[in-house]
This record gives sequence, C-alpha cells and structure tokens, in this order.
Amino acid sequence: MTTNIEDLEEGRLASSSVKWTTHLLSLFVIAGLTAGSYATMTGHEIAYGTSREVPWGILTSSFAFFAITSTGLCLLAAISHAYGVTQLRPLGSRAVYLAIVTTVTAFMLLAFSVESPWMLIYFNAASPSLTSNIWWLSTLYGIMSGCLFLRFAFLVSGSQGLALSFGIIAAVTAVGANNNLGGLFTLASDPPIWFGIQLLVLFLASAVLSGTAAIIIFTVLAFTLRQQKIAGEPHKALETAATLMALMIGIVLVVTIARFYSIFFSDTPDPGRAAAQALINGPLAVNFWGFEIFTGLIMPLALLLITKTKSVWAMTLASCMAMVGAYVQRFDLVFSGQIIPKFSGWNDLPQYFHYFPSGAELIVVLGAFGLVGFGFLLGERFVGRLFRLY
Amino acid sequence: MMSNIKNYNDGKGNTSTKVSLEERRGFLRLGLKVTGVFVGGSVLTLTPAQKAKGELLGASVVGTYPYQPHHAMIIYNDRCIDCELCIEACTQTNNVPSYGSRNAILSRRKTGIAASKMIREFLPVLCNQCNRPPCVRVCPTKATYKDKKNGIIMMNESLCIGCKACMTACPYNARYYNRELQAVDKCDFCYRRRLQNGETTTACAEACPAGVLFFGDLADQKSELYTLLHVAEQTILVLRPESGSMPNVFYLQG
Repeated sequence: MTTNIEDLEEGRLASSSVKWTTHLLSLFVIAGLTAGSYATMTGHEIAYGTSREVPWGILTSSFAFFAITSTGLCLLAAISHAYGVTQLRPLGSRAVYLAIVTTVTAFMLLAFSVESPWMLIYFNAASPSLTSNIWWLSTLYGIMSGCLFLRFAFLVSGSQGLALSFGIIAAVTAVGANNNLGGLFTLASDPPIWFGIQLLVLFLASAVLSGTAAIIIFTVLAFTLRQQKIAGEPHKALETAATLMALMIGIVLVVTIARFYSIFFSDTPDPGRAAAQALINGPLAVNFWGFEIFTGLIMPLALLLITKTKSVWAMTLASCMAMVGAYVQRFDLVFSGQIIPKFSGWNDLPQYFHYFPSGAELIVVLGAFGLVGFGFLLGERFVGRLFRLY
Repeated sequence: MMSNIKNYNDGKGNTSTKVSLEERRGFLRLGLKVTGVFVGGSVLTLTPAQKAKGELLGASVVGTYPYQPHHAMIIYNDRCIDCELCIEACTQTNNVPSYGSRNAILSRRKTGIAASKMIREFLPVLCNQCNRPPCVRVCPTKATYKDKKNGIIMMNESLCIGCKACMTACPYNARYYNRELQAVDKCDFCYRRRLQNGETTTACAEACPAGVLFFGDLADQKSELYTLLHVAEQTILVLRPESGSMPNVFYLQG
C-alpha cells in the first residue's frame, strides 16, 4: 500500500466540471457559515424561526440527520474492515472518509444550533454534566471523529493494523454517541411523544439505514464521475449494502408501527397522543405519510425487493428516497415534540404551535449539504485512489 | 419504617424534619388523594385517587423535606383575578425583559354554576422548583442546578451555552432565553434579589392583592405554608403530575 499521499490523487477528476462544481459547493458552505455566524451574533430568536415554545428547529433535526448518518457510515466501515463482512470491503475506505465529512457537517450544525458555540467546547471539558445526553453525545462524537481521522490517516499511510484498531474504537463510540442522541429524546418524560425505548432501536436501525443509503449514493456518484461501469466486487458490495438497507427499512417500519401502537394503546399521557395525532392526521401528516413512510420506507423497500437488489439504478433511487424520508423523519421527530402546547387548553393557546424555518436556517442547512458535497468531491479528487484499495 | 423516616438524611448533610405519628396517619389518609407522594426521599404511588382531577392531581407533598429551608409555594388559583400584579412585580424585581417572562397567568373559559354562563378560570404558573428536575438532568454544563441547601433550581448564567435543552425538557414552559444575559432565565423564588438579602417572601407573593400566592418553608412546621398544606382530607394538586418531576408548587382550592 502507498505511503505517499500524492499517489492517491485521482487525475481523471481534474476536469473543469468537477472543479466548478467544487467551487459552487464551497460557495454554499461560505453562505451557510455566514448565515450561521449572523444568527450567532444577532440571537437565534431574531435570526431563526424558533421561539420559547419551539426552541429546537430544522438545525437540530439536520444535526441529528448528519450525526446519525455518520454513525451508520462508521458502523458500515467497521463491519467491512474489522468484522469480516468482506463483501462490503470495497465500500469501507470511502465510508470512513464520508463518516468524517458528515461528522464535521454535524458539528457545524450543532455549533449553529446553540447560542454560544465557543462555550460548548470550553464548558464541555470544564464543567461536564454526566447525566446530560448532550454532553455525552458531543463528547462521544468528538472521540469518534478523532478516531476516524486517525483511522483515515493510517489507511493513507498503509498501517492497516492501527487503522483497524481505531476503526473498532470509532464504531463503539459511534454506537454510544448515537444512543445518546436518541437518549436526548427518549429519556425525556416530557414531551411524552419522545419517551420510549423503541426510539433508541429506531435510532440505531435508522443510522445503518442512512449509512448504507449514503454509501450507495456516493459510490455510484464516484463511479459516474470517473465514467466507470460498476462491475465485479464493487457491484457485489453495493448489492450487499442494498440488502442490508432493505433489512434496516424493515426494522424501522416494524419499530415505527410499534412506537405508534404503544402511544395509542398504552397509558401515554394526552400530550403524547396529541403529538402523535399531529403526525397521523394533523399538520405533519403529509410529512409523515408522504415522506417518512411512503417515500422513505415503502417505496425504497418495494424497489429493492422487486429488483432483488441487483439493479444499481434501482438501489440508487431507493437510497435517495430513503435519505429524503430520513431527513423528514428527523424533522418530524424534533418538531412533533414541541408542536403541542405544554398547557394545552389554557390561555386560548393554539391546538398546534407553528414553526417554519427562517431564511438564515435554510441557508445554514444548504451550507451543510454543500459541505458534504464539497468534502466528497475533494476526497474523490485528492485521495480518490485510496477508495479503490481495500 | 417510622424510625427510618425520622432519621432520614438526604446524603447531602441535610437532616429532614420529623413528622409526628398523628400527622403521619393524617397524611396517609390524605395520601389516597394524591399520587407521587414524596416520603423520606422515596416515591410512593398511591392510586387511584378518590376524586381524581386529572390535569392537576399528583402532589409530592407529605412527609419529610430534605432541604433547610425547603422553599415551596401554595397557589389558590380560584382566587386569582388576573390582575397581573405578580407578573409586574416579578418583571421589576428580576429585570425580566419585555420579550420574556418568569411567571404567567393562564386562563380559559369554563361553565359556571348556571350552565348557560361561561366564566373565566385563571391559573398562575411559574417554575415548580421540582424535586426531580428534568431541566437539571439535561443541562450539559451544570449551568442549571438544584441548590443543595434550599432546593431552588438556580441558573449559573456564565456556564449556559444556550442549547435550550432545559426549555424543551421543562414540563411547565417556565424558561426563556435572555438575550442580554446570553443565558436561559427562570424563576428562582427571588432568591438572588430578595431571599439572600434577608427578605422572607417572593415579589409575586408580596404583590398579590387576592391572597393567591403563599411562599414559605415546608421544613418549618410553624410556618403558614406548612399549616395550610398539612390539612387532612385536603386535595392537593400539582401541574402535570405525569411528568414525574415532583414539584414544590402546590395548588389548593378555597
């Protein structure tokens, strides 16, 4: 294996179209950083669409989306390299790299989700609170990203043993971080819609689902950029990833049904039922049925089953739909917990609170997607050959 | 069991107040009307309630109180006339900005004695200074904490990163983000502005002209608050008992 990073450069991607796309995406990132910095300086309740009643908006849900995806990618890389699922190996190095990119993106969103991001870094170390899921998730994602950086560095330098060791540590911390991200919602007795152990299972299955969907999309994109046909081992790897994705879709579907079943047929307090009602036939019904269930779960599963996970384009389409569904699912999860007033029925409060992302929030989210695209293209261009070595 | 309760210590150096056998019996009768009863630091769930009033039922009163003083408040919400003097007093005392509030008065229409007449019902709300505060558990930097001496949920503004997890976790919507302080702000029973300067009551309780708000020390058996609360066969109500937060703000009728 190579020890010189210059040898990893993918000369074929030094085309003007790739360069211009990279520049365009970097502009998205700059716009996102500018909008986020503006919000930090002026205050979130001025720059964002959030309020006292709905303090968490699309930035929190987008943070969850990218953090969960990074967990999935990290686990996928660990499965392929460390746990002997050799069919997935051709996707492993790219999964490691993309896990780093999505974690950095998640941290960018976390920074713009809190009012004083610089204090998050300082007080996370100076005044830790071990009962807090936010403390654990930011610490564990920090450790995970550090391990992933080291793992990637050892992959580049050819130290496979060390790369494997750090990969395993990264995977373990990724599961812990993901559980704490889930715990941020599931351990809170109020709002009741978030409470319940099913949500933790959903978070883990959803992580692997997002991870497999992301690796399929970006692998197909990488081959398309190189104008290469996917065949042989990479094709088999994608088939395995698609099979894993179908399995995870099935688990997510079952857990989603169990979650709503337990809300409606157990002793869930009224605000929990009202929030679930908002998803089933309230203001979030289109999101829930249209995006989360139909686009995000049923259609991809049907596509994968019909094509028996053999068709690359079918699995790419299924992955894209699953990612759209996953993004909307994170938003619905965050907002559904805040949509019902805490004192429903009093003070002529509305049945549901309203939230719509502000321009600044949407630009930050655009910047986050830009950062993932920018990071992906940079990786393919400058260390692209690494992704062929496994 | 009785001796355990009498000698109860919360592990933080605070020894609890003793409860007499007679009172204890009274409380056990009372206990059938409340859920989430706080006895000697443990939770007993005594259900079903005799006359369940769903949304308000579930007090965490009766028994021993681990803080010295154990600050608490009684609200006779049916006496409230919505004059908002409590809000004004709080705003002035604690420099609450116009876009925020530490306390509020909720209202709703309900059917009066004559079925055709609708009357307004008012509900003053503020931080419930919970014994099991969800806001404290979720804070990543210990910016919000339960004072070990008096049990008040306090804010250390310099540690607040503005993640607003406490705002989503609070069952009472009692917190808001103060842009000037760059931190979440909440009711501290006027501890910083009044209590620590030797005053004995909160600004809102002092300003109330209708005798709605009573502030005091639950650990002091001679206090008015203790006497008002410890009446046998009295239904004591708390807000949102299903959250399991065990509040120290109690709602009484009459």
